[in-house]
Amino acid sequence: MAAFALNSLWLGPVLAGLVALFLPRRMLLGWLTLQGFAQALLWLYLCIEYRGLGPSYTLEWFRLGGQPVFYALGIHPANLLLVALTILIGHAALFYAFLYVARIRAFVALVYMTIGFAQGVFLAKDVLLFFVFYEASLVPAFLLIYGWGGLGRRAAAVKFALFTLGGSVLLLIGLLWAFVEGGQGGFWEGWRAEPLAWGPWWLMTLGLAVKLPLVPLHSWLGEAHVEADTAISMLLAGILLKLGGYGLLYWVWFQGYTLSLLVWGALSLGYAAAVATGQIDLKRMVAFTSIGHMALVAIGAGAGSPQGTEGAYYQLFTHGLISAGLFAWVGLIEKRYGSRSLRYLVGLLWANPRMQGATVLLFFGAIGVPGMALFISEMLIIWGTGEGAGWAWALAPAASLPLTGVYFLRAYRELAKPTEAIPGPQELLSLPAQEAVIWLLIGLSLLAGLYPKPFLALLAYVGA
Amino acid sequence: MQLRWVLLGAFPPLIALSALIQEPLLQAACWITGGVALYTAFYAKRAFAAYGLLYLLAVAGVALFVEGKSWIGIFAGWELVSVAAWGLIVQSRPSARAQTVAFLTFAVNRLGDAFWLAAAFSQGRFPEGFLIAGFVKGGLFPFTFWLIQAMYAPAPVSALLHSALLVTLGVYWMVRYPEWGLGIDWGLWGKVAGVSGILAAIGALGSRHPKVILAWTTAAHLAAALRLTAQPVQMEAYLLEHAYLKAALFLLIGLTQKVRVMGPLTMGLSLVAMVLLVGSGAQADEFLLVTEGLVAVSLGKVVGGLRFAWRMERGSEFLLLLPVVLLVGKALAEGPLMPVPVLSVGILVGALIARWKGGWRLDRIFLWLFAGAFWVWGKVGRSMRWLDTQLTHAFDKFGLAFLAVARQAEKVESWASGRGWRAAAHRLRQGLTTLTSEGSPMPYAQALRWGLLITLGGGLIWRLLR
Repeated sequence: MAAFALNSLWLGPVLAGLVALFLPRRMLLGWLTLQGFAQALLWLYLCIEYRGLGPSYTLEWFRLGGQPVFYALGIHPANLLLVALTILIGHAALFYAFLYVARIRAFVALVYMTIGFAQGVFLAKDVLLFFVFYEASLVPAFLLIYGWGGLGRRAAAVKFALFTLGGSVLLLIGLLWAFVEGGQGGFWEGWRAEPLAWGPWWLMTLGLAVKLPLVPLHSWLGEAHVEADTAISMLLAGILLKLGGYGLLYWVWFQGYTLSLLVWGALSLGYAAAVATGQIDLKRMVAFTSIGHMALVAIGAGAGSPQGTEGAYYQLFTHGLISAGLFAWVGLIEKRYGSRSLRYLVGLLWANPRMQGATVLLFFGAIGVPGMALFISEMLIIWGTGEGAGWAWALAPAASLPLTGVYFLRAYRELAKPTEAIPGPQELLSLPAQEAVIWLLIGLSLLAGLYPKPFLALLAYVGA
Repeated sequence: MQLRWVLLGAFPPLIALSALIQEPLLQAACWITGGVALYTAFYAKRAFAAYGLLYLLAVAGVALFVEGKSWIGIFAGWELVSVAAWGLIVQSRPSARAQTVAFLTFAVNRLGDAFWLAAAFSQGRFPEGFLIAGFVKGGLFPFTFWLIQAMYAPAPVSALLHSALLVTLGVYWMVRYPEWGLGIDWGLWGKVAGVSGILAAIGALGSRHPKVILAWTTAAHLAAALRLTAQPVQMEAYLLEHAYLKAALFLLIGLTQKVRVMGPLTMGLSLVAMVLLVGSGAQADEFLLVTEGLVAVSLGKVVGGLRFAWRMERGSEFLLLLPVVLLVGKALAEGPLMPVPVLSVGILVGALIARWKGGWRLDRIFLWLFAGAFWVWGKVGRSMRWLDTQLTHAFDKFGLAFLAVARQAEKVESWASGRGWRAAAHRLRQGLTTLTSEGSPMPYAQALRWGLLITLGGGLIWRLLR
């Protein structure tokens, strides 16, 4: 049963996507709901089944240089939450876009393929299998950005694909180099037994840091987020960035204290905060928030302490919730007011206090105030940095507190400024499904912030 | 009536709760919040539910801070109070200024929080971080600027946050968690606190608006409290007295702003509160004595500057007075208070010079510094946005250059793989046809001769060179 569940988690969505291509439109919503529940049930089953090392499924695939390469899937502390996040964000994005998106069948099929391959990335227990899934996930993501979004989406999609492919080349070279060097005991379980050598470590880090992303390899992200449709931005922030983060944390950054990562993360954080402060486009600001939050993952991993690693993994999850929520919120505003510019939207919340609650909660969620999920993960990262690298280094992730606060509250101040000229229509477009998705993500973020115990229990021993 | 009952209803459970609580600051927080909620029920005109919710959030913050079991829990409490402050200021007045002030409060406090966290996770190697964060949160000089700006919020909000809950936390950690302070050089920091207190008291003396004076005296009192680190029992008593009395004074100021009169009862109450306030902190310490003396004169200015009338105009003013009486009574019940006659004379002096129009603003320079830093950060943000665009363009240009090269390569490739050969053969054939056709500039025989000549000449040269 465990083997069935593990295989179905990635193969199920891919097949479901293919089936969706041929379903009549009126059955599509039911199909999505069914799939959502089915995948959630599979995850739940694996959670219950999860003991010690967790359920796994292994099959020899082929041999490379005398070493077996396995088709090995498994659930372990590091991926349990991310698998759930993928199911959640994937379906949230689908339900968000369902009523307005054109060419819905193709859209659903591609989103499901992205979900499936992303699950493969998280579940893979062999680093070559991980690479295969990582590459495969690029194709539907590219097509999604290429097909749905703003005017510049095609260029953005090509850029996204080129950056990620460039990263993949480095990743593959690093991977094979590490294997040829012989330090790693094969591609499977033995991979994490020994720390990586300097060369492969850097190559793989560079390759995956494109996807995380770390400055200056982030250039694709702003374009892709801004040009893609809202639902695809949610997928990008909620799932695809996590592929890079998870790959780095699980396959590359598993060795102790790494100063270069701390420095890189800190620079990335400062850069993202500065650029976000200077933004007028709300969506671009949210995109740079993502870069800042992902830089914290690098800092947490670089600290090399159990709390830091645990915080970095938890940050992947919490950021997935809040950033998807933020993108959904920006999409809602764009739908209602036809603009994302802070210059135009001055006084928006003043004129329409109805959006006040979600805005405040999302902004404070991204700032990371107590009660929201991001607070817990950021605290763990700061704690871990203090433990692993010393208190002076803890100032680097702690700087995220005032910096993030500044640009979100600055945006809030503009949005809530009392003004004579009220932007947009008096009667707001009613978008209940989209609002429900936003509130669901806020609710989960609150839950994971107010009572993080069960979530952290799933992550237990991840850093040990 | 709207949702006024939310605030009225919050009062009894909070007071009842305080009877069950052991922790003194939390007890005080319950009392003060209860009083302030009662006051707000009659004072505010709208947003009662928001007030109630945010008041409870502030109390929850204090509860988490004093009862927290881990760094994360304690910090959550410390931070929640700031969030409540932001919310209270934002929703209290519908103006752009309220947004800016709330932003300033939250941003400055978060800056301090970064130091707090570094200290908390430094395993005792950076205890000064707590002190720096406390200076920021307590609004101690030179960080008083945000506290002065926050006086824009209405009186009950000031009473709750800027006298009792928020700012007191900035110093109260010394009482609740004295172990955090181990390793701090108190010889140095005690002096810093003393000087900070005196400067804040001087700032109070130079101010004119009653709420601003009270804010400055808060900074002075909290700095003075830091001088009592060696006597934690006294320090705690002092801080609690200060919280009750300062909250009462803020409520009184709010009352006079609201109804524009000050009955004898109000006057008496404020005098009592002031005498107790300056008396409670005066110890045999030269810094404290000077500070309290200056504070006494400033407080006198507050009383002297208020309008005075012999009767209350409306019955609701008595309802507004109720929480004040409650808080002053609670302060009296808290412990032995020693009114110091010399300092009481200071209040009289202050009342006499209340008409003095001169003044100074010590916080201005620091406000400008912070605003300047923020402005610079904004500019940095703009520049970085530009830089990031350039970076994006650079990548784009790289891509375009790559495409151009690819296009050229494609041309060469397609030429080499057939089309080019065919074209060359075609041209050669064409050329030959032209050459050999009739009427061409170079007839066939001549071309043959030239060809022979060139071949022979070339052969000869090649031979010679070898």
